[in-house]
Amino acid sequence: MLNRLLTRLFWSAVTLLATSVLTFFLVNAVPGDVARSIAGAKASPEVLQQVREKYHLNDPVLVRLGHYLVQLARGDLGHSFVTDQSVSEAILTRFPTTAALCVTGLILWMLAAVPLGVLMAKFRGSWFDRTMLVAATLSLSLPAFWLARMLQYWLAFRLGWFPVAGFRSFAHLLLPAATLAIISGGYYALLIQANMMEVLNAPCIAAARAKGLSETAILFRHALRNALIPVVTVLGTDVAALLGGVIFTENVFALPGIGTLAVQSVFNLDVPMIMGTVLFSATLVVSVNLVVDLLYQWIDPRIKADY
Amino acid sequence: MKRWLSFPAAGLLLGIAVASTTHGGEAATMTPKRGGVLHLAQPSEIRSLDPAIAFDSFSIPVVHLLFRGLLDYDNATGLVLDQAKDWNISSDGKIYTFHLRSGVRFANGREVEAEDYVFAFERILNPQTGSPGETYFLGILGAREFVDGKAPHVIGLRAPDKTTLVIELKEPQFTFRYVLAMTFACPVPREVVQQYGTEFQSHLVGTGPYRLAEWRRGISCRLQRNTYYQGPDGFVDGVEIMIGCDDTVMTMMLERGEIDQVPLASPAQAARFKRDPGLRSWLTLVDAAETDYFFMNTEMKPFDDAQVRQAVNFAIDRERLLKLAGGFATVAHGPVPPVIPWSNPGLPRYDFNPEKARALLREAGFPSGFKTELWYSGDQPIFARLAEGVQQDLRQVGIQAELRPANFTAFDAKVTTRHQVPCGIWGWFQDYPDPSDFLDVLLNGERITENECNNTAFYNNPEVNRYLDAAAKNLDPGERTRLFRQAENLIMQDAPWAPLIHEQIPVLYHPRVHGTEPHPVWLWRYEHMWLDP
Amino acid sequence: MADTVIDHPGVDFARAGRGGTGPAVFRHRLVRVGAAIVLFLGLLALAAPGLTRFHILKEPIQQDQKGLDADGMPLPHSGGYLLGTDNLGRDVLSRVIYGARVSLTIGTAAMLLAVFLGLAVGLMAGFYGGKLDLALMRFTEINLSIPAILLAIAFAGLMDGRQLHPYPAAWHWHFLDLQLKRGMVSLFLIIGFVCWPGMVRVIRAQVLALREREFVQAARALGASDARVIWRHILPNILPTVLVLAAVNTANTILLEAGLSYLGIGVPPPTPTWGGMIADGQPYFVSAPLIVIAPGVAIVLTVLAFNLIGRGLQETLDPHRTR
Repeated sequence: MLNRLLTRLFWSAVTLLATSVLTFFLVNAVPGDVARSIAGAKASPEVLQQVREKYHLNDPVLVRLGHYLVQLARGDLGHSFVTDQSVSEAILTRFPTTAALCVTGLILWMLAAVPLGVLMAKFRGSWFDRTMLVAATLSLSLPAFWLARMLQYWLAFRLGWFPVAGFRSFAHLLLPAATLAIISGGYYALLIQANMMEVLNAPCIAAARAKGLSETAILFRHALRNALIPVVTVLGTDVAALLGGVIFTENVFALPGIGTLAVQSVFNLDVPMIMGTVLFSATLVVSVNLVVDLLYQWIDPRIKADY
Repeated sequence: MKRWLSFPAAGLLLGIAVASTTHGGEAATMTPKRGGVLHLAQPSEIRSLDPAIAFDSFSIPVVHLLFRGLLDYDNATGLVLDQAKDWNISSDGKIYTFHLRSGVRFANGREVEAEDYVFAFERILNPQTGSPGETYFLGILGAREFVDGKAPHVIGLRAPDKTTLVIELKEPQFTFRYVLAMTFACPVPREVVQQYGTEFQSHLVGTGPYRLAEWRRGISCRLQRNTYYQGPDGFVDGVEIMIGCDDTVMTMMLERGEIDQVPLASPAQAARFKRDPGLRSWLTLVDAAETDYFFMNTEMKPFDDAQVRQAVNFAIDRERLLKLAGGFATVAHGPVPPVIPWSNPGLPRYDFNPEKARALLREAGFPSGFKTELWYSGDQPIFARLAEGVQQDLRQVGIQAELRPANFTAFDAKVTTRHQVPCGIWGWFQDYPDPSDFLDVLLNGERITENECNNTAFYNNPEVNRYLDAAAKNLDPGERTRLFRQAENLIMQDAPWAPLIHEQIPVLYHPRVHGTEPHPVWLWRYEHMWLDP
Repeated sequence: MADTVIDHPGVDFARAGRGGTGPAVFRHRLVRVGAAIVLFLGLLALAAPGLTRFHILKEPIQQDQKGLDADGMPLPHSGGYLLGTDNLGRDVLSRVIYGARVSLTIGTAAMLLAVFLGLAVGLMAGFYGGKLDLALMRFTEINLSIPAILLAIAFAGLMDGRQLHPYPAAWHWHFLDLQLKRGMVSLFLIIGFVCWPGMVRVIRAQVLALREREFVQAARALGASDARVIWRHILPNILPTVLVLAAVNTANTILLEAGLSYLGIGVPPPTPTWGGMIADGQPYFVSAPLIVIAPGVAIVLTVLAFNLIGRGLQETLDPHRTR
């Protein structure tokens, strides 16, 4: 077990390193004059030269990569080109908001998806199942920004049930979390349904029935637990996709999270911030994956991850 | 209404108290109440609240809450004393002497001294600070040498004792007084700046009615009352600024009462409020002291011919352009906006007359028009709309103008370089309320440079230049008015520009906010606003 | 993560004649509905110039005064404007129809790129195994750890306004009267590149399983070259999976394109895009909600269609796969 853990840790670290290198190249290889966007519109050639020197923009790419990696090793993600604020500080200040949003969203969608998935499995083939199938598919066809806008307009602005934007209280998280829940929830409902169906056909369930356990008990105590396991793993890999929805949701509801930071930094051509946010998300994804993987193996040691 | 700047020149002492007693004149049936928190929002990050750096219309009203200086504006563009108790200009117009009011303290408790002003001005001139306000202070004696590193201090800045400040200029300059009312000219405590260096941004200390309580970059900014401030400004107990929501969201929040002001509402939102009888009172139109204009490069064919330029002026339907600006603008007949205040009854008028335009073009040798390129900054939607409008008008008289949008940086570089751009559309927002800020900066032939030239028409009329130079050195307001009027008349005869519109800024306020009268320079004054209890 | 892969009955597509599973696929209700929607939209997109009376691609950011009221605000549903006009006076319905071209073109192109790349990597990894497999999968994992949309935003944003010349400027094709501008090419390249890693695992798993099947082993024993084995035996058998992936992936690419256009870093104006229309229409939402609602509905419908097709295909061709 420990061996496994260490191996996974090692490979995660390697993945992160490779990701930083990849990110570095992707972000810096895009054509355009970074110096000019830092120095501003009317910068004279001398100022541009100064900027280039300060940020080592004239050095060959590999040297810059080296600088960057060394910096990273020290935990320094650089400073924003725009506000000169430390990138790590900016990210860490905003992370709690994004985390709060994601957790609330997760709770909401599990609250919705689990019963739905179970019921769909139970009533497989009925009109309920069919309708819910379309509904679930519909929900994952909604563009995040559009749904967010609609919810914001109808529920917050017109009806006043929720605050419109910002993050002054917990209530401000509800509508954005609902957006996330609707978008992602459909998929998980379908997943749970499929898993439940499979599990319900398994021999251990037949045995439980033979023993005379009630349907409810079977459904919730035995089947669900087993059905949820793959869901946990999918959740892990889906963190990356989740962040996509987060970006738009935060934008529309003006939540001060990593999503808005990412978008703002792209528009400001704030290269260190862009790299910082991408790297941070990558770290998040890798860490979550790692945890989920280990959890999965611990829950069900029969399944071996192949790498 | 707007009164003409009535500021007598040499040797006058002004003993008027700070403006607050006259604020909200017409609506003064209600007495301001203290208390409450003003909730504001801004679409993008506040780059800086440092008085030496802040230079955009969102930040400056906030900086004005934190920092104060020698002079301020009254309800219009008249100057009044703020934290100086009197001042004096020598008869040759070069030496300004200020006596500071006593008992004025920084937000950290220390009393302000004349040295703090010297420190602040030198800080602005110091190239390391990178202050955009540097150019305004270059008129001070010894400033150039200080900037170039040849002198350790600016000779023209002296503090003979703790409460006396003396500023000596190289040459008399009427507009220098306006510089002293800008946020650049506010004192900063030397020891705090030296202690924090670049982190001063997060530990700002000034003499304004409020102090910085908390600033989470890109997220929010919170101001609290400065207990050491003794002036009459500042009714609300605190100000909270939310950063990073777009205009649509801000308007929704305003209607729901979550914020109190939407600065710079988009035409779409403003039009909706204007049309709705229940919401109309929420809308305030601030006359921006600015001009959007169509410039023609007088050094490039065919715009080197005055008749062609006049034809263009006749060809443009300015009334129709107003509609393109959502109706929130006034027609511009000359370069100088009337709000600063300015009037010029003798200004040549070019009323919409396409027939005359075509006639002039025929006379100039272009019976079937000509082709040209119309450049503009695509980043700002108003310019795009104006460009299309002008293009359509020009097409009616045979001029085929191909639209060339560019992003701001590229556009700025291109049009300020000589022999590059035949014509284009741009705007200029006042730095201070004086005609020279428009005429001298943008149309003086002696200021033409090969690049980074503000005179994008590269217009050079020696007679106009003479008038402008004379006005720059003159200190008598009446005489200056005469000189500027003559210059402007000549300019409009030559027509290097076709002035288009003066924009108005739609601002939305929640009904519970009072004291929201617009101001030609500050646009709005948070320190005069108060809330219903 | 392990994919539970169940063998499915050996459907050798290469030998399935006209009958077999062909028509069965289309008998599935979902697929029928989905396909119908896509077909309808596709035809609409193709026929766009004929259908719409308003030529909107003629000049850059052309403002149509006729389409605005006295205050310069958009018109509601009236006269010839079935869905009203937008902030520049242009007919919303026409723009939505034209927007279909952009979304369908970019979505499909990006999907094809992603599928091609995903197939290539998955095939290589699954078939050859060993060190190549390890390396490729590591590479995929690295790509996967960066959220696709973040990467797409970073790319598109950084490239925005730049002069990117991936191909000679002379290639201004007139593809179905929609000029293929540089913006669109870079966009589908970006989207394709961020989407391919998502497919690799599934394809690889299938290939791994197939590799061990008797008929594949037999072919190899008989001396068939790798290429032949892949082409004749593996590819046809993973086709169902690939089709499902393709359908679902198109849904994602369209959503991505809409998202990028919404942020302003997708296809540049004045080309009508659904995402762009939503972004432009936001300030007018209260007065003219159709500007935002119409393109939104269009996106939902299109994406739903592809998702339905994907779901239907999966239920028919691949019913036991849980992922």
